Amino acid sequence: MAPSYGLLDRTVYGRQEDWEDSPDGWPQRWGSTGGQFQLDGRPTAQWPRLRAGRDDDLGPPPDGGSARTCPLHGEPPAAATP
Amino acid sequence: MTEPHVSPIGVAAKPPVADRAAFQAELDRLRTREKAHTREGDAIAAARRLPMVQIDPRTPLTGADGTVPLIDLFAGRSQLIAYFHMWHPGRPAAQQCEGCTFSTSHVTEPAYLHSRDVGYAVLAEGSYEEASRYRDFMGYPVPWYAVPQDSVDRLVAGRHFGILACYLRDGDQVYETY
Repeated sequence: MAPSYGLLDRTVYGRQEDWEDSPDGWPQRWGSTGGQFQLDGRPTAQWPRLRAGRDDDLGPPPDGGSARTCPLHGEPPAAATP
Repeated sequence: MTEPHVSPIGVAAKPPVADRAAFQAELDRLRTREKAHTREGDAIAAARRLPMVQIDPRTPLTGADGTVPLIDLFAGRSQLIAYFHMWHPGRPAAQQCEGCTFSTSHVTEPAYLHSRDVGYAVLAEGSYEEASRYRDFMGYPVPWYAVPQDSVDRLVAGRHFGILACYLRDGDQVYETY
């Protein structure tokens, strides 16, 4: 349902993820177990919305809020290596 | 606002250079595998013939106009695709689900689904107030609903949010088909 990966798969460096069978020196900044859909600490698709001036305030937290875990949430990707 | 950091690719290794004929020969070899993959995907799609599970058509959901039964989400259509969007209550937008955002942000044009009599809706975990603010922030064009706690088991049925489900409406009855 998300064509970005199908498009990236056609590019020279693919998804740039660390599980791909890539030659030495290929960019592989991204993982596949969380963090690959984030950029600088938030879901990547939020950045153009912020640049467009949209407000990301979600209002006051609801009663009974809890920290449910999301299997796709992981640590953000490590900083790019030179 | 901090601008996101994107790593430069300029220093990365590059493929060897080949002439057009050699490039085409390599591409043709790859095409053999790609076509096999396409044919297998088509074969799976052509044979995706499952039975269906009856779902309570009155299962309540929370939308912009308050509580509505599941069957209303069809908007008269025979089919509905629902994406079950995870939600982390009380957390800011930056900490909401990156995978659900990845998937949902790609669904921008439902006209082709509608042309096949298929609707699309996002069914979010948690409160409608938070989820609808997130939808507004993201500018999503598809309708959003929240799944009240009492409706979660009826729809998610022991699975977890983050799934996609397909439904069929037959008159006033609703079935899950995928």
